[in-house]
Amino acid sequence: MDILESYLRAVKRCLPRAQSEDIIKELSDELHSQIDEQQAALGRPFNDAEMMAFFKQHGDPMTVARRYRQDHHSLSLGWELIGPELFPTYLMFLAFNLTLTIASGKAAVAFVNLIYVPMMHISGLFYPLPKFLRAISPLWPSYHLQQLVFNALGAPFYGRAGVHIAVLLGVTLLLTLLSMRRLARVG
Amino acid sequence: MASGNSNHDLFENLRLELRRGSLILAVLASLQHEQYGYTLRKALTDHGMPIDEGTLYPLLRRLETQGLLVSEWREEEKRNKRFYRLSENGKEVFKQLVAEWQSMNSSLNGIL
Repeated sequence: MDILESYLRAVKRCLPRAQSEDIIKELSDELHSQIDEQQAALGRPFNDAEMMAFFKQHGDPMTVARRYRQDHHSLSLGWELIGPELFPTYLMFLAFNLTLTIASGKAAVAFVNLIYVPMMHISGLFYPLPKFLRAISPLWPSYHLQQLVFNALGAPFYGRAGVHIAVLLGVTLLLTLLSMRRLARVG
Repeated sequence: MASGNSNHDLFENLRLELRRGSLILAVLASLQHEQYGYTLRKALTDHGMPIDEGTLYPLLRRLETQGLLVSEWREEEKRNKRFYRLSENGKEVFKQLVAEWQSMNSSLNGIL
C-alpha cells in the first residue's frame, strides 16, 4: 500500500490545511474500500501495474484536491481560460520558472517575472478580485493586454480595443524612453 | 470558437447542469438513513445515478457546511468511516425540495 500512502500525501499537500486531515482520512477509506473490492473480484491482490492503473484512473493528486477547493472560489474568466484543473499546475510551473531563473543568475528575467506575475494577479486575470482592487485594475498595463486577449478570444471584455492599444503603446513608449535615458547614463 | 464538437460540448454542459440539481436531491434522499461515503456511492450507482468520488465527497462536505447534513466518525469493518445523515434542518429542506421537484416535474411534463 506504499503507493496509496504517497498518493494520499500528495493530495493532502494541495488541500486547504484546516480540512486536509479529515478529507484524507475519508478519501483513504474510500480508496481502501475500492481496492479491497476490486481485489476480491480478482481473487488476488493487485500487482504493481494494476495498482498504478488504479491511481491513474483516479486522476492526479492536484486535480483530486482541486475539486475540494472549488467551492471556495467562484469561477472567473481567466480561471476558466487556464482551466481549474490545470491552474495549480500552472502556478507550480510559474514558481519553478522563477526559482530557476533566479538560480541561473539571469536576474533580469527573474525581475521581469517578479513584477509581471504579481501584476497579472492584481489585474484580475486569474480570479475575481475584491472590489477595490477591481476598481484600480485599469492602472496596470497587463489589464489592458488581458482585455485585448479576451476580445480576440470572443470572450466578454471591458472598454474599447483602441483605448487599450493606446494605453499599451503609451506605456511601452514611456518605459522605452526611461530605459534609453538610463542606459545613456550608465550603459 | 466554433469547433466540430461544440454541439457535443454544449450538450454535455447542459446535461451536467441538469444533473447537478438532481444529484443533490438523490444524495439527500439516500441520507435519510445514515451511511458512509462508499456505501452511499454504491447505492446511488445501483439506482442508476453513478457518481465518482471526486464529485461526491466535495458535495457531502458542502452540504454539511450548509447545515443540511451531520456526520460523525465511527469504526466499522476495522476502519474509521465518516457516517452522514440528514440534519433536522436537512429533513425539512429535503421535504420542501421533494415537493418542488414533483411540481416542477408535472409542469414540465405538461410543457414537453
